[in-house]
Amino acid sequence: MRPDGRPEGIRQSMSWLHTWSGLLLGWLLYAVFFTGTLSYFRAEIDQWMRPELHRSVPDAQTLERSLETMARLAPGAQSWSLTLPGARRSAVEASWREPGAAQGRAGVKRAFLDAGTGQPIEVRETRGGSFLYRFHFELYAMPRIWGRWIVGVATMMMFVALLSGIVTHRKIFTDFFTFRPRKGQRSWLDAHNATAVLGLPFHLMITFSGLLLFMFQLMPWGVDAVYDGDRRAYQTEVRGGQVAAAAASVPRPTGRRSAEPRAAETVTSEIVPVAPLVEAARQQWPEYGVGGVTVSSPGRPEATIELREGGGVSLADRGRARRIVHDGLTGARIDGPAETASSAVRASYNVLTSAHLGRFSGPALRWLLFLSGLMGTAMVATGLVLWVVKRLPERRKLGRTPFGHRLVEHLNVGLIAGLSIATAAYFWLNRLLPASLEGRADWEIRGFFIVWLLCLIHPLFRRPRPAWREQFMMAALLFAGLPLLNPMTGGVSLAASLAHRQWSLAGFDLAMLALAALHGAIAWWLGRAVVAQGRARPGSGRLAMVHAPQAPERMP
Amino acid sequence: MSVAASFGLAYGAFVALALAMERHQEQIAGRRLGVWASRAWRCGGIVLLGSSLAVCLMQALPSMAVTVWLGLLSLAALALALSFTYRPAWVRLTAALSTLLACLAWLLSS
Repeated sequence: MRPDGRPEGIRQSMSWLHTWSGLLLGWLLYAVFFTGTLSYFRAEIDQWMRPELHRSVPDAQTLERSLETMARLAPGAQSWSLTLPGARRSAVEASWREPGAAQGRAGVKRAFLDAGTGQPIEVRETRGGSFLYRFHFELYAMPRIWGRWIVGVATMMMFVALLSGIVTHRKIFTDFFTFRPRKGQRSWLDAHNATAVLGLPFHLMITFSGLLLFMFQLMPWGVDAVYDGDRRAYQTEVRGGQVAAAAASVPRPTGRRSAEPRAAETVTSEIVPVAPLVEAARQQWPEYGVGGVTVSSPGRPEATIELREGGGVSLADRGRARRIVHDGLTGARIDGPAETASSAVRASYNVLTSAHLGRFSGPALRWLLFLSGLMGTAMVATGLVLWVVKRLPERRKLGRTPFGHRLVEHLNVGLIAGLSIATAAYFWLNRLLPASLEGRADWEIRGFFIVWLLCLIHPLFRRPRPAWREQFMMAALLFAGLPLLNPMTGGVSLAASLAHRQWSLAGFDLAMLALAALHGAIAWWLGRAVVAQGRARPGSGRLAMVHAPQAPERMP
Repeated sequence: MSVAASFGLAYGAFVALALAMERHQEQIAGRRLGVWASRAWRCGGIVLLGSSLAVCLMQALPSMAVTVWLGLLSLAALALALSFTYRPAWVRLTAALSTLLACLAWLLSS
C-alpha cells in the first residue's frame, strides 16, 4: 500500500520485489559474479599460480618431444591426451589412463611437461583458478549438491530481480546514456541503472543460461518421467543421438578392455611421425591451429591419433573443437561417424550455455565476457549500496541508525570490499606458503576464507566510511604487490613476460595492476568525498555524500 | 580488426541515436533539433547498428557473431554514457572518428 492510501500499481509492487529479492541474495550474487567473472581467465590464473611452468617455452618440436616422454612415462596407457601450449598456457598438459584404472576422473593421471625439453615438471599443490571457478557455482565446504541448490536459488532470484528491475525502471530509454555523478542517491541509482541496462543482454544471458546449467538438478521431473529416472540415458541421447548405437559408432577401441593386450607388453609398434599430420590440420584450421592431440592405444596396432582444433567456431555445437582422426600406423585419415545436427531446442541450449562458459572463445570474446561480467558485478554492488543510501533520509529523520541498516551497511563493506582482499590474499598465499606444506592447496583456500572473515570483523571497529576506504586501500596494495611478488617467488617478471610475448602471464600481472588502480581509485574517491564535505558531519558515515555540498572543482 | 570496426560503428550508432533524444541534442549539437532531424538521426543510428552487426556476421558464424556483437554494444553504450558525463564536448569528434575509422578498417579487411 502506498502511504497516501491509493492502491499500489505494478511498478510499486515490482519495486518492492526488486528491492527485497535483490537484497536477500545480493551478497551471494556478488560473490558469484565476482568469482565467476574471474573464471573467464581460469587458465591464466592456473598458469600464474604454478610458477614452475612459467619458463616452459614451446617450439616446433614440442609435440614430438612430449610424445617421446609419454612413451616413457605411460607406455601401457589406454590413451594419451595432450593439450598443447598456446596463448593461454606455456606448458604441455598431459593426461592418461592406465589399463585397469578406475572409471571416471579418478582413474586419470596428469602431468605437466616442459614444452622446451619434454621433461615432466614438478608443480606445487594448488587448486589454482579452479577454486574460484567451483566456488561460483557450488560454494565451498559443503556437499556439492547443497552449494548448487543455494546458487541455483540465488540465480532464480537474480532472474526475478532483473525482470522486476526492468519493470521498475521508469525511464529506461530517456536515461539510457545518463550518469550524473556527485548527486548522492541519484548517482547511485544512475550507476545501478547504467550497469544493468547497458549490460542487459549479458545479464539476461548469464542468468538464464546459469539456470539452464542447473536445470536438470532444479527441475528433474520432466526428464525423470520420460526416461524412468535414467538421466544418463537422457544425456547420451541429447549429446550424440542413439543410446544403443553409441558404443558401436565409435571407431576407437578404447572401451574394449578385453581386446587389449596387458600392460606388461611393451610398445610394439611406433606411431607415424605427427608433424606432417599437424601441418595438414593447421592448413585446414587457419584460425586456431591444433590445440590438442589424443593418441588412443599407443604402441598397439589399433592406435589412432586424434587432432583437435585450438578453439571453436560455433556456439551451437557447444563451441566444440573440430577433430581429425588418423590411423596411428599408416597415418591415413579415418572418417568418424557423421555429425548429427543439433535440434533447434538443443542448439539454443548449447548457444546459451556455451556463451556462459566461454570455454572455447578467442581472446576478443573472452575479454568482452570478462568486461560484461565486471559490469554485472558492479551492478550488484551498486544495488546493495543503493539500498543503504535510499534509507538515509529515514535514518536522519529517526536520528539514529536502525539495526537493519547498520547490518546491511556492515555486510556490504565486509563482503564486497572484503572479497577483493580475500582474492588478493589467495594469490599471495599461493606464493608464500612453502611448497612442502602438508595440505597446501587446502591452506590456500582456508587463508582465503580467514582473510574474508577478518574483513567482516574489521567494520565492527570502524565507522562505515573509513572501513570502506581502508579495505579498498588494502585491496589495492595487495593487488599492486602481486607483480612484484611474482618474480621473487619463482615466476617470470612482467618485463620478461612482455619481452618474450608470454601474453597469459603478462596479462595476469597487468590485470592485477589494473585491479589495484581500480581499488585505489575507489579508496581515493572515498577519501576525497570526505574532504569535500568538510568536518561538519563527521559521524554520518560514508554515505554522508548524499547531503554533501558539491565539490567545487571539476572532476579531472 | 573486424571487432574494432564493429565497435566503432556501434559507438557511432549510439551517438546518432542519442542525437534523436532531446536530452543529448543540446550536449552534442548545442541546440534542440527538429522532429524530422531527430527521426533522421534515429534511422541513421539503426542503420549503423545493423552494419555493426553485419561486420560481425561476416566474420563468424551467427551464434558467435551475435554474442560478440551484444558484448560490443554494451561496451560502446557504456563508453558513450561516460563521455556524456565527463567529456561531452568530445562526443562529436570521437563519433565521427570512430565511424570513419571503422568504415576504413572494414574496407581494408574485406
